[in-house]
Amino acid sequence: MTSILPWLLIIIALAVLLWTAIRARRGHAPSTRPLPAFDGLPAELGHSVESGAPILFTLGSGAIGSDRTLTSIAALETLEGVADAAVAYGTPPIVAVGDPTILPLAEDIFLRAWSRRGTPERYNPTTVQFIGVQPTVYAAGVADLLLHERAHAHVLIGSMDEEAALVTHAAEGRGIPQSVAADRLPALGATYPADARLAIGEELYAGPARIAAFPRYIRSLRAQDVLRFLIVVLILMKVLGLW
Amino acid sequence: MDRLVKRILPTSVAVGTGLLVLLGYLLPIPLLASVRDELIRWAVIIAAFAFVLGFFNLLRVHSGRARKPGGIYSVILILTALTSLVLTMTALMLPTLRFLGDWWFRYVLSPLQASVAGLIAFVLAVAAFRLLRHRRETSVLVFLAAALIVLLGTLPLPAPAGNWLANLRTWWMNVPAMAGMRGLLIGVGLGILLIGLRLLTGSDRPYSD
Repeated sequence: MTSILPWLLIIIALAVLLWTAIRARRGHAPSTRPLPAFDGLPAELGHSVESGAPILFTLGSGAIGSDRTLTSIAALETLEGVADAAVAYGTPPIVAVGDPTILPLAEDIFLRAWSRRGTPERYNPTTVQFIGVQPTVYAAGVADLLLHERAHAHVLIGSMDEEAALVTHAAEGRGIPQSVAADRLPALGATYPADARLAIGEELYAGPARIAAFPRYIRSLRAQDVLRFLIVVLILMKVLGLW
Repeated sequence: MDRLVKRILPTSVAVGTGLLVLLGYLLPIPLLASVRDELIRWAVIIAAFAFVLGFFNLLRVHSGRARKPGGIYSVILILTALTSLVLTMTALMLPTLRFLGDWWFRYVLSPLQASVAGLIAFVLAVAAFRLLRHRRETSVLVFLAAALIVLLGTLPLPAPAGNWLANLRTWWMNVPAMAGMRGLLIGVGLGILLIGLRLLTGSDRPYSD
């Protein structure tokens, strides 16, 4: 039974993805639920352009090749969702990465965004900054960036633990708006007291759907919601003794 | 040709590698397991090269910042990074001088990291006070009540209040907190599953347009 379960989950997820793709082809436009942590981001980008101060993106300590790979990819996809608009307005964000394996991927997002606009030479190699691998050193480095760079807003999205409190504390000290979406439970507890728009648990993975709004992300979010509903039904059935 | 190099080839490599690694974990076939292990070894080797990129990025960012006001900290950072590099390379080439690198990491870098980690407790305490002052909502009260129950239940208080608080803490951790944590982890698991499937089906291509 244990070895069947992962396959079953994968097959159901694939079936739901296929079903939502077919529905989308028939003209049914799926909508996404409101996510306070990400809904304010386009407006923050607009304010950032007006003030000329960039948004600081903290992508966490996740690495490619670790158990945090997919969380880091979700963070990169959310960043990609704002990259084109930020580049078009000439106010690209500052991106702080905590692992060098994320560095080339984040750099590539902005290089491609500038290339799509036909001006790859305008890409600034210091847009993406590698801070440090050790999580507390990374958090201290980002806190220093927040205190000394002219950032208009702060977005923490990625994999972090309780050291995220150092980062949110620094942003709060500057009085800038911030959104926090971390996958680890210690980070949620540590950032809850901060004055920030918080994404809880799986909301982190809904970021690309809400910001980039590509059909594939929205379909994926729908599949995520359907699977979650199925799991809730199964738990209730188990509790009520029906299964 | 451009499409082949920029889209088809990287997507095929990513999907093929991802499927082989996934099958290596899910199917009990020794050949798949050895292919999986080999591919993971390759990934680790490639990831090691990323550290070189990270090092040069650090030097580039801070050499620019060193000329600005407050740039002394960037100068210190560059000198520290170069010292670490020189000591590590020396230890690799001359094993008899390995103690220098060990000393540097044990008595300089580790204490610095530990002192930063020690700051987290103070930051959390300040954040809790700030929370009490600025946000007066039911959820905040529940959050603070949970924190108090866990903190007081951990203290070695005299019986019977100590026992009662310890039992309350155990119940709190095992029932409401555990239920909440499991709910969050199920959600995180589902999010990860869907991103993994998007990558494996080639729907997501973080490496190309």
